[in-house]
Amino acid sequence: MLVADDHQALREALVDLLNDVGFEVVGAAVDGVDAVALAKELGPDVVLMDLSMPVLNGLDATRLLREALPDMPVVVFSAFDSAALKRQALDAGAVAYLAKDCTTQRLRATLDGAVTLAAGRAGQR
Amino acid sequence: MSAETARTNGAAPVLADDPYRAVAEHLPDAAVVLFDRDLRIRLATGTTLPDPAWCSDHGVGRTVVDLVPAEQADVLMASYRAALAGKRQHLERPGWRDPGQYWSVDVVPLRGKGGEVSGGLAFWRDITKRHRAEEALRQHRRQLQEAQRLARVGSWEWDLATDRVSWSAELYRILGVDLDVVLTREITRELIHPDDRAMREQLLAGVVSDPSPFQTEFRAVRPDGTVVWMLAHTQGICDQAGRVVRVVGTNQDITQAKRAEQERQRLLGRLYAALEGQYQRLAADLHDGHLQGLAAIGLRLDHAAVRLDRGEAGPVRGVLGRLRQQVRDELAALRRTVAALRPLVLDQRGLAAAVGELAAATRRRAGLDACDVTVDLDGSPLDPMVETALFRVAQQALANVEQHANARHLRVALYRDGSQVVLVVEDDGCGFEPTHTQAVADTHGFGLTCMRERLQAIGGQFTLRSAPGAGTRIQAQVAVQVAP
Repeated sequence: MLVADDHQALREALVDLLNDVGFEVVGAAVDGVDAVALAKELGPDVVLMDLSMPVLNGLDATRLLREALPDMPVVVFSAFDSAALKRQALDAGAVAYLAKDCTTQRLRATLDGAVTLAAGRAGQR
Repeated sequence: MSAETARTNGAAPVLADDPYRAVAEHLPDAAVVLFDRDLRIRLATGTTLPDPAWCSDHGVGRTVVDLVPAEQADVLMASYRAALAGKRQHLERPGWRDPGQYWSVDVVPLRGKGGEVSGGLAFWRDITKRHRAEEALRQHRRQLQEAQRLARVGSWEWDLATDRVSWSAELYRILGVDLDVVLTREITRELIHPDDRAMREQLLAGVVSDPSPFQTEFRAVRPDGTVVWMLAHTQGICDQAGRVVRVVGTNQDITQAKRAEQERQRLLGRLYAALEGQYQRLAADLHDGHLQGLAAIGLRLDHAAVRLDRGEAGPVRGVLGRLRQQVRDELAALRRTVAALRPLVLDQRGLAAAVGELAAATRRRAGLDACDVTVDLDGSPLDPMVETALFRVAQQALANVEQHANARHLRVALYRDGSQVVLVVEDDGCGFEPTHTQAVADTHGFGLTCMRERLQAIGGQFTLRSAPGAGTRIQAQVAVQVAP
């Protein structure tokens, strides 16, 4: 799992939680460019991507990842629960859109689904 | 009608005076004076005499010099003498018996049968009423000109039959046209701004069919190229048959008001832009800071719940400890956001304390060696608008010191100077070239324009002094407005 979020406290809380519920967080990126670079370098199963980030925002980073690593699922994790943003994120190539106030169960289920999807894509190759 | 008459006693008349007497005694407000070559009065008669004494024994046989006040005598004698030299004379003179009385005097030579000048005739007419009317007319004209000058209103008239145009003197002045220019419709048309010409001409043409008054604004271009805004009132004047024969109007120079209005709109635009900028910054603060902070707190709570579900009470304490720290951080961040919006100290302890705190914070954050703060605002509390404006100027100026000045020493003074409140922020930092103020402001966001406009909005003044390597000094000055 790769986590990308520019807010340090949130990034750390997310990494702690995910590690504790059975995901292995292999890296944490602080902006979109960092996220793309770490994804290429570390090859995580799934990228959990914030939208509003400096240097390169999450939507553009998702587009770049889809082009560079089309099998790597991106789950957008945003402070906004907006249908328009969700549509934009899915159009950019994200497999799911989660609001940051979602339940832990929803977060885990979505990430589990993304990991399964990644495994399926890897299997097809 | 009673006539006052004098005649030379006993002596044969040197002049045939009867016809003159007949004229004088039947014309209203008139008198005839016959004089001989020695300028002596031979006959004075009429329904009104400039001086009743002329017709008495005292008058006849004496000269004008003997009978009129000295200040009148010279002029009258000169005209009488001119008549004896064969020249007609016309004078209009004030009387000397009643204030305001005015006389018209025609002096003509009288000739004998051989054609030689044997004397003269002065035909006096009392023109007091006409003179008063003319004087009143002149006064009204002066007052009208004065009023037009004061109000910057010019008037004009367009005679449709002759197509001639006339302007008042003030309209010449407003439009920068020499008074000796012969006006034509073409000249007046050319003076209208090209963008407004068609509209103005169309409206004027419409008056011919509909003479009712209307009001419009248009721009004129003076011969020197400057543009002047006009507020025009126009209407048609009809003859008895109801046909429009003239178009008349007034044009008021409203350029200054227009400029003020444009400046007001510009400032309003900047105000709304500044407000929008504030909203954007606030939204960014809320999204990038507080929303994320709260989301992080939510994740920590979820994490604690996960551990509790697993019956891991011990590790929950670690999560709770991080959670507590996060709540503290979030509270501090929220306080900063609120303070940036409206510092509580300004409302609770006033401008002096707020500026003092700002200066102390600037010294701390910029690592200055010294910060000299002098605050002396004894007296009634200030108008909240003035307090806020001065606070914002201090905030911006001190932010500049912190971010751009690279200073060692800072001096902040806030004091009353007579009817003014003065704020001075001075540093010994790198300074900059003030002639590049606007470019600097635009490039580096020094907020110099904002400070200046903020003060202008409350009638204050902003002064900037800076030079490369010689520090920067800003002074804000506002007339004291005591809070109601």
